[in-house]
Amino acid sequence: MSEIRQPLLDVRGLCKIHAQGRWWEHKFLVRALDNVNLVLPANRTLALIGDSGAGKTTLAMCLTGLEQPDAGTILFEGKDITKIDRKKARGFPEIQLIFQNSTDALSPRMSALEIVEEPLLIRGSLARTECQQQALAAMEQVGIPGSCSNRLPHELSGGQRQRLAIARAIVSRPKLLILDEPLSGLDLSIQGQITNLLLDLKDAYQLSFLYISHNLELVCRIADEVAIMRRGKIVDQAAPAAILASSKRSHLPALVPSAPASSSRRGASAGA
Amino acid sequence: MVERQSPIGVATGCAMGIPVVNTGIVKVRSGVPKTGETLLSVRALSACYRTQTRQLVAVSDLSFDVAQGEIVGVLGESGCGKTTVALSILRLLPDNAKVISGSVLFQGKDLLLLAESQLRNIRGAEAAIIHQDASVLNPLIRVGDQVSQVLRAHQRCSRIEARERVQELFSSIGLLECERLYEAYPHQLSGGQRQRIGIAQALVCKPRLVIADEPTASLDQRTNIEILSLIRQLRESCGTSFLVISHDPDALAAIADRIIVMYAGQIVEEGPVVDVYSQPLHPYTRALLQCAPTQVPVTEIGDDTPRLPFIPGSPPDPLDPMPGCSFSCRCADRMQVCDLQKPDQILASPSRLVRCFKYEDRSHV
Repeated sequence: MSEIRQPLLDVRGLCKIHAQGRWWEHKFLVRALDNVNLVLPANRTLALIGDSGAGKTTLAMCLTGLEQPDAGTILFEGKDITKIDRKKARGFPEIQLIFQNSTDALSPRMSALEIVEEPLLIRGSLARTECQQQALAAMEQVGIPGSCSNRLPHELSGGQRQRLAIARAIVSRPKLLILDEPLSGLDLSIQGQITNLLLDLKDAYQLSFLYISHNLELVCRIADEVAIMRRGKIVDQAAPAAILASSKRSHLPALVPSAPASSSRRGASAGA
Repeated sequence: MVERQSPIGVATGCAMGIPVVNTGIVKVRSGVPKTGETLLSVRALSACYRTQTRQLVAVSDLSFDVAQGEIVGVLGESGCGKTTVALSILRLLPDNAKVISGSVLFQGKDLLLLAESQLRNIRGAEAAIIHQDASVLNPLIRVGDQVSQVLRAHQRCSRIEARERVQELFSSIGLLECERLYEAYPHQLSGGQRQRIGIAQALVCKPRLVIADEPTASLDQRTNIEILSLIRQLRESCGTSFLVISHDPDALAAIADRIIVMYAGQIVEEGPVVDVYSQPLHPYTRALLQCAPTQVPVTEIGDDTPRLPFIPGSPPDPLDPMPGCSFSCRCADRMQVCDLQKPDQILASPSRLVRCFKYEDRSHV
């Protein structure tokens, strides 16, 4: 952490315009990001909520340098990272992204261990054996036993694949982890396990999370702050309780209420 | 439990200009399930997959009914055999899987015994399936043609007539700009639109039973709610029966009348949705419902973030079945007998079935 209390991530006036339509069609411009401002203090979780097409993933891509923004600055610990030549710098390990669909993001032809050690090998600062050790340690930490290290991604369960993606992200010791829908398609119980793992890692490594999701109820349980994005703009940013309260009144469809009040369930189990 | 109202359909307008249908407020609940005549009756169904060396029993001894106009939800973790049930009803199982025993009576006919040609007359026309993801759409054919193909396969009608009927259907299920969408290819549509095309394919012949396999997985919250309210609406307007398969208890709570909880290929609990959710009998159901994030308090700034509940352990390996109850190693209320014997289905009350030793002695209930 720096001496002066500067935020870990400070996004100012970020814009990204996509042109849609093929060459023979009339092109129209989509403002995927429209003057986005975000501040994320160190060791905090900021949740980003929005419908599909709101620009959440584009923002994640810009932050990790996979897309170049058209305007605006991204200050990471005070440095503007839009100016960094990523190819020369061989990536930017301080910010790691966990993709929306981990199954598609893992190479089907690489074993679990190879997947996790790849980022270390690409950076090339460590010897091969050391990379392997660190990769195994990271896998241990996310709860993938060493016996699975030679398996291919399709031989792992959905929850294990997600753990593998997390291991690949933390192996380069990031400060900021961008999680793009990390729980979509997973069972409720596994969602809980993965979320708890992420929270444990956050405490262990002093990580910050930018948590992209459309599950308002869930993020309100884990985030320190929630930002709502619509059509490329951040339209609201507040504490989880305030967002939840306002969503009940307004436009944002919250989870369909289903679970009966916990008191009645306790009564039920006591009676059984 | 009293009727609750969800914000379904309050939302209109959506990012990316996805058409949204204003469906009005849909009630989340269900009072008394409609007791129409039995439409589908699955008896003692068992299905297995062949691996290189052994047989893997994915579904064993499954029996349930779906009445006319009823929405039955099947709840369970991934790998518990939900999709296998859906596919075996319409005999769509892949080559390495087969039904080993049981019967599937649909309108009095056993679908498992019908000849392939007779079955083809039923599939799509009287009983249809909505697949988990819309990847079943052919990327090379315009989506409108893919829907009208289904119609023209089962009913005599001209291309123009089919086109009109399909466009009418599109608008009734909330796809605006039907003209343009009819000509579109799958990749030009959003996830929600593709899912609706899948629904259109299933509904175009006005079947009496629709099996929906995870119709809302991988859709965002708003689209999710729209699709669910659409299913309810269709039940109200056409009297279609639905068998909705999901791992999300919230989705099923919103639409189902009756719920079937599956674990490791078996039904562990069955009953009206309100009863099952308010008073889950089986320890698995209770643990699963407690995993809902709504059970955890909302974080305040500066708080230590609380951990979410989960079910410890993992489902049993189907290649290595346990001698006793398949949930016993994860169960909070495990007894000695659980590890030794398999529990039978017990009628806990007239409308509820549970498969657990806790209810052997009826005084517990």
